Amino acid sequence: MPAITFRGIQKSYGATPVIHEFSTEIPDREFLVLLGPSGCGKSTMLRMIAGLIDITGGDLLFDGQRVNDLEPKQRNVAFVFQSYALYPHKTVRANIAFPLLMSRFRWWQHIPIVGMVARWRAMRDPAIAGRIEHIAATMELTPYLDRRPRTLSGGQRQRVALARALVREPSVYLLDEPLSNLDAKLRAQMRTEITALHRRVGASFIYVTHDQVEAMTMGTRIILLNDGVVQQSGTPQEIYDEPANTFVARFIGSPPMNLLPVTVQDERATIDGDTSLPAAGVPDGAALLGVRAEKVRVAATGPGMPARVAVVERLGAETVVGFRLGLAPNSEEFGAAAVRDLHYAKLPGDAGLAVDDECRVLLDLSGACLFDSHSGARIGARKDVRVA
Amino acid sequence: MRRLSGAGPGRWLAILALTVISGFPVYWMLNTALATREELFSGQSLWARLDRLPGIFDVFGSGVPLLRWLTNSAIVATGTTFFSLTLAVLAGYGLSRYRRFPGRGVLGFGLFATQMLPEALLIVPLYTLFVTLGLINGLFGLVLANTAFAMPVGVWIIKSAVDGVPYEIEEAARVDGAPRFVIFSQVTLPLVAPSVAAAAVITFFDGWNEYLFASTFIRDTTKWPASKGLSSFIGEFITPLSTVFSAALVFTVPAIVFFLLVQRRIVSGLTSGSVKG
Amino acid sequence: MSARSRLAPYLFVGGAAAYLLVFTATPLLRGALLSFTDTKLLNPAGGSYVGLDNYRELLVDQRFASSVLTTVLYTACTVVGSLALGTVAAFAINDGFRGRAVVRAILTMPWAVPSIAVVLVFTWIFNVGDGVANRSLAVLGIGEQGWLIDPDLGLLSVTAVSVWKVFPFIMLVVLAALQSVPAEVRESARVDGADRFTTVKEIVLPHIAPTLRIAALLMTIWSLRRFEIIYLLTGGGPIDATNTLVISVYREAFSNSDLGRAAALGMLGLCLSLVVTVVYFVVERRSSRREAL
Repeated sequence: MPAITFRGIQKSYGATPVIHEFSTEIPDREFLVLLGPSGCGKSTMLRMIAGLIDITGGDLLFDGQRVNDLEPKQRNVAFVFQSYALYPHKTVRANIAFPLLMSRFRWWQHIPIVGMVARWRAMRDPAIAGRIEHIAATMELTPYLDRRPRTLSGGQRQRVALARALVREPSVYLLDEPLSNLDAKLRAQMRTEITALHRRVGASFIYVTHDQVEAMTMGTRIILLNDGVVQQSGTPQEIYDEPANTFVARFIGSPPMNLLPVTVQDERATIDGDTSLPAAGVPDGAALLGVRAEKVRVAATGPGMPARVAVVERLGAETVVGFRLGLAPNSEEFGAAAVRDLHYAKLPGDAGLAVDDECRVLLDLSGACLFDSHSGARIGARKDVRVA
Repeated sequence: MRRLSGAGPGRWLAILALTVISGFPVYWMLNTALATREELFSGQSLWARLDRLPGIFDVFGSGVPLLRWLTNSAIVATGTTFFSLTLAVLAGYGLSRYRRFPGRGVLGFGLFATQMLPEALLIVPLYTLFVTLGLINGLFGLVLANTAFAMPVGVWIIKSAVDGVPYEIEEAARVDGAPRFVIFSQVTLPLVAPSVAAAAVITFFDGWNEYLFASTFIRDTTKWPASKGLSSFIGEFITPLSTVFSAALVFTVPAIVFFLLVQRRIVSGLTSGSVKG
Repeated sequence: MSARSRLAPYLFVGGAAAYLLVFTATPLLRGALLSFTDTKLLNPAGGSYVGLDNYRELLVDQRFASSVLTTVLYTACTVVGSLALGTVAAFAINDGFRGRAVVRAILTMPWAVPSIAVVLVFTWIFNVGDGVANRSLAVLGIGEQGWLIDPDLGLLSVTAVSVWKVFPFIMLVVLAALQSVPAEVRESARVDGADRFTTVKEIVLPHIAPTLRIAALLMTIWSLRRFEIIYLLTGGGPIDATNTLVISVYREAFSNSDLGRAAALGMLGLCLSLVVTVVYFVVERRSSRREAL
């Protein structure tokens, strides 16, 4: 169960960097999630850990031992692919057996008939057969052992892919967006199954996804990537409460964190020219105030900043209201222009508001963050003041 | 869904005309094979005498060494297939999975270039080469010559078939610890089996139909494949036409049958990558 | 990357590469060398260096010029003919109808029939006295034609037979391309109000254009190479009417016994193929760049 160390890890194709240098330590038995939008480099990172892609620079260590030049098999890892990558022409049993057969492979098995006989005998070995039956039972695949992947449903194929990984008892499980090909309901179910698997198996899991809900619910540690650069590395709660920059702030959380432009003068931050709050230790100039949607109160009347409702989403248990500060009427534009500059509030139950209504906005500033308007990086301390 | 072509009489006329044009010569072969000499030269009937169909097999006893010819053709064809496919399967996989090794461009161009080379240009140098190697006047030499031209087509077909196998499956096998050759033979190859079969059929009939090398390299009439043997009937007026065409039919029918079975794969193999979408 | 994985590609392609080197590249090189000598058929090992003499003689030879013309004519007509016939056939059978599988099989047959059988049957069909071609003409009141022996008809007959033999390839290629036009694109055109003709012109043809171009290239290269059918039908005659470059190579080598000259002819023919291929790639790159915009 190795602790994984990234030391200056970097990947380039020719002169083009796809993953910028980064270092971190992952203690063992973590459920690490590599999170980020499409094309951010997370799958590349995973494949580097697996040994399927070469590492251009830096060292990758498993328990202090450098593994850069080791083949996947030698690293004792298992990989679950997004498309499951099951062997279509083999039965489920043969799919699960394959890693076991390969671990017993000797060079003379390359000779056609000899190889076939060796494999046939291996399948009859009670140790191997027993292990396959056991894994199949664990993954509830026993009735499907003699079927071929194309006759199975998406969820069943996923379980076969997991079984194939389990059977090797690796020390690290690598999963590349395994749930993205499943429908929403199945996805939720498999999420819990995979988390339970992690707990039971007691090995390190490294899980790639673009879905921040998966990341938050499953991970014990998240590394958030964008364009090959690591944005933040921490526990789900840390990333949610203390985002390192505006990208992280808006990527995590649905609806995204609100970023309100403020002006800082003499250690006070002012929104919209009138409401202000203390901002100790913050230099003068423009900044962005980050407030989560559930900390925004919107009401038809009462104290607060005037705003106009532009969007209302009723989810049953809660309502998401999108608004613009100020009382200008909503424009006639549609498409992307319609949702520009919207801020969001998440309210329990039915908010009783409709589109185009006037409303009043109150901000609960406990846990709010300040960000530099140019770099997007978060500026130090937090506030605990209510804005009236 | 609405048709692309008009459903009117123009279309049916086209279909009819095309069918007649395509099928007539083969039908005529049959017709001539079933006709007697008198019928042929006093006005060959348009209708084939199908009642005489079993008579086609009389060609085997007619003094024409058809069986020997066909056996030679089969030997050449099988040999060509075996060598071509072995090389093509390996090279097709290599070209598909390894995109960047020194010499790949040259090899790719070389394989394509063989399609441009006229056999007539190579026949003399190949002849002298084979004389030196002692391969002249032997079926094995024919096999080697045919393979040189048939193999690139096989490579093309196999390569595009392997391109279609998702790379993730091979990555999975790699993670499972399989050495590269095992991945090739046990994971990828079974998945492209239909294309291999199609390539096998094409190469087989390349060898079956081949004429130029057969006629130049083989001196012994006992070693003639059927393609050369049948050509000996051209311009000679002794053998009855019905015998000639019976022999031709026996030679042709296997080619037609198998060809029809695989034509879809051949086309996709030769033109894949150029069809959008 | 370990040493072993660097070696791997060569293990796979090595066999094919070596084979090509021995049986294709080397003979080609020797052929090129031969073209600079005056080697004769009866003494293949002998023969002395004569520089560019063979080429010089050829380039002023009237027969050579006319065989180039014949080749170009034959190739152009075969390519155009087979493209036209094949495309028509593809459109005709693209949409389903009863018995379509049978029709398609029959239309594919010409490609499947071995060349030698094709030659035999067409020699008989074109037979002056008793062949069905002339007997049909007689029924229509038209006189006998010397299909394969009349210098004015020889090239036409040979071209017709060639088109007959190869059009199924075009048909199958176009069919595959037609069937790859996404149904949704066609439906969208229909909703937008396009009639059948416009749909074909604006949507289908551009979609299959790249395929047609590759097919045209293959067809051209194959026509430049075609030997059996022409040689066995007419032997290059009558009076050189069908004497394409490859035929003249063979005749020069085996009838005239002049290997050096034959090799030079062959090299010139090869140049023609190369030119065609280069032209194709230039056109292709320009077209695909335009299409990508």
